[in-house]
Amino acid sequence: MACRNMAISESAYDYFPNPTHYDEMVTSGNNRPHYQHVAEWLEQTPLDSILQSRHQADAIFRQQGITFTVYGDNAGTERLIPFDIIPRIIPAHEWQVMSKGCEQRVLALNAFLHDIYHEQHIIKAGIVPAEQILTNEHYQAAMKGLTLPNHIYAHIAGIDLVRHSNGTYYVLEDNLRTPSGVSYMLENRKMTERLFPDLMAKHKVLPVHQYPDYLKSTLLEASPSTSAPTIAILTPGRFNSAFFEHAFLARSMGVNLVSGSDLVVKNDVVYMKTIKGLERVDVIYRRLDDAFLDPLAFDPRSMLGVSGLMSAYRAGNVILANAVGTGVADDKSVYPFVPDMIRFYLNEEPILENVPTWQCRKPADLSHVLANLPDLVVKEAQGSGGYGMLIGPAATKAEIEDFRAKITQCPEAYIAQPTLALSTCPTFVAAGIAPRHLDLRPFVLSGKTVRLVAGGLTRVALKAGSLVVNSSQGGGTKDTWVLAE
Amino acid sequence: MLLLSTAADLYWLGRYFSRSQELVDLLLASFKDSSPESLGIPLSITGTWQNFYQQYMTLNVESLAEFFITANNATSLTACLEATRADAQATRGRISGELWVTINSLWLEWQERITHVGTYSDHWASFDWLKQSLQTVQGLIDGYADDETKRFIIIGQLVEALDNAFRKLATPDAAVPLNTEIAQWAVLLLQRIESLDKSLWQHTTQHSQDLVQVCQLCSDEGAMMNMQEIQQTLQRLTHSLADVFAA
Repeated sequence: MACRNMAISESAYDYFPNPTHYDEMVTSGNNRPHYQHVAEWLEQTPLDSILQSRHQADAIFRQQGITFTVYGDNAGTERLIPFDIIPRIIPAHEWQVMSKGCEQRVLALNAFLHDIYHEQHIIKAGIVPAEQILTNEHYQAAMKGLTLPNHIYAHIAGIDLVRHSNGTYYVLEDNLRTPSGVSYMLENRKMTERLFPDLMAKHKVLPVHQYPDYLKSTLLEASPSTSAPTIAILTPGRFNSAFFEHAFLARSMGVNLVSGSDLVVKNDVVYMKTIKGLERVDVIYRRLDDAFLDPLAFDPRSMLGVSGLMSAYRAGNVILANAVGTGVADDKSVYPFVPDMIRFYLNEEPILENVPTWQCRKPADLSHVLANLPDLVVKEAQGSGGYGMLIGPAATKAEIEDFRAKITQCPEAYIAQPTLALSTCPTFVAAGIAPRHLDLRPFVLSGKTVRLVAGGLTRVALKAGSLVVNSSQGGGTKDTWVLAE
Repeated sequence: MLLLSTAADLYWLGRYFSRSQELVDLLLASFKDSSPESLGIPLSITGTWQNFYQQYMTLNVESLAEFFITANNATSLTACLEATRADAQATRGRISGELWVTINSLWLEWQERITHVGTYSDHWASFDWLKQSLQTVQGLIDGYADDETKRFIIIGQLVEALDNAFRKLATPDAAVPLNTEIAQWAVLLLQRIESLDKSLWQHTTQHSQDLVQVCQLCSDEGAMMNMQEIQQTLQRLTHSLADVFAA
């Protein structure tokens, strides 16, 4: 397959990635071996047929209500997350490195969380400044001294990975609070199996369907002192953007989906209100942020949480997954220290690298950032969802100056990173098959052992040249195929 | 273990679903006759005469059909189907994937259809399609394996059937169910309720027993139903259900 200097193809089998970016399918004008079958399929399949498959997928997702609620969307509150039918393929040897790297990283982060809520060795060793942790908005003093089973805080973690033009994967950020997206990973796989069984059969793709079983095992192991713990998923309700996922996981695991009003705390024990009376709950997979969990302990205005939940938690009568206070470890201002955490707690060198990061709270870093805003990506240290970012190369002068003022006013609230040339992947767009930037979120489950299903959620930016992959801002998803060999 | 809130959502799913079924049957029957008396029956049963004449000058098949499609009418088919779908969505962690997809697909198709209706034949076709589609959903409910989930949907359906029957009895020219049918619904409702946990559902069970007694009395004696007493008994039953759901 030729690689010409055109951005968008006119037929299904013409694909012209930018040669300065790492493309997942094409290198130096040739298909990578693991993409050979897909490339042939693209060459042989008329655009109309691909479009028809796309419409079929959309219709099925719509019928099944696999939607994402977007706040402030004038078009209606429920939207489909665009599903791109062209899979993202990862060879076995790459996944082996990624999975080990993610596992290593989460082990270190859990060790860090246990440490900062107990002896704080890493602070005493001078590796992480005390003020970075103790004044962090997400550091929860209520967790000080509370020892959790197996010392696990982040039972479910989503590690966002990107591949740079040199082919290396970097960790973009850690998600240790309420990482979402796994349901789309599972539904995308079902869709691909349904629409393209023959294409899939040409590849030895590792399965992902066991994720709900892994998750349930992880949650059961979170409460080792109880012989048959009762699990519930705590959701903010059906108007939450990720409600589909909450309901999906509850059904898949065969556990109850509860709202705050379904729970009551009596004598520091949490109960569900059922048709047979109160039933004790031992493990809560909570999809609420800390602030909303318990109006007696946190935000008193919260209507979503459970009064007394924190008291039950501190009494050891209920497990919360993820634990309260994990946000301090996935804070962008703490992210630069993760490689040091790996060395400190595990005595190992990091398998996966961080993206170089400047912390605006440091005067030298601040000077560099302010002098190079047009070339950098600037993020709020405690932001998420792709909001509150400046992508320098794509920003106007006015946007850059606006951000300069914000950073100058409150430098500790921002970090900056170089603009990575994220890898691209063939994606079906309005004009045909075109390269689009993407990332990958593997999900790491920490119980008695660390478990990952192969792959994760691939998120793809659908606009040409865009680096924003978040679904809340128009990004789509792909099925992720990790090959067995 | 079924949550009280989920039980409440399933109950209302049953009620709104049944309301949709009753309404579409009513409208199709009115269209078929199309006399002024017949066209007025749906308005009488739903208590929406005033609302109707605030929006339309003339009562005819087209205006009646449009009135019971529009989202501006809280008793419309669209409102009932939207509520059914909302309750299904709220319980999608519990109900089967098949039931959810069928209800959701029905809702999506209905929304698509009502953007294109204009003539009487369009309305008839849409309502006829809806009747068939609702029967498909009923089939899924009837064959539902999860007893606890099905129980509360059926409780909702039976309460709605009884409520609708009493409204029809109070409406001249409306086709009313037989006293024996009404009595049977009350018995079926009691059977569903009395197997629930006594500690929580005691009052509901009592009111359900009272309802059976009152309905049975009228059925046995062939007498006119004492509408006020029956409706009050039914109201006490629904209030006690609401009290338990809100506990």
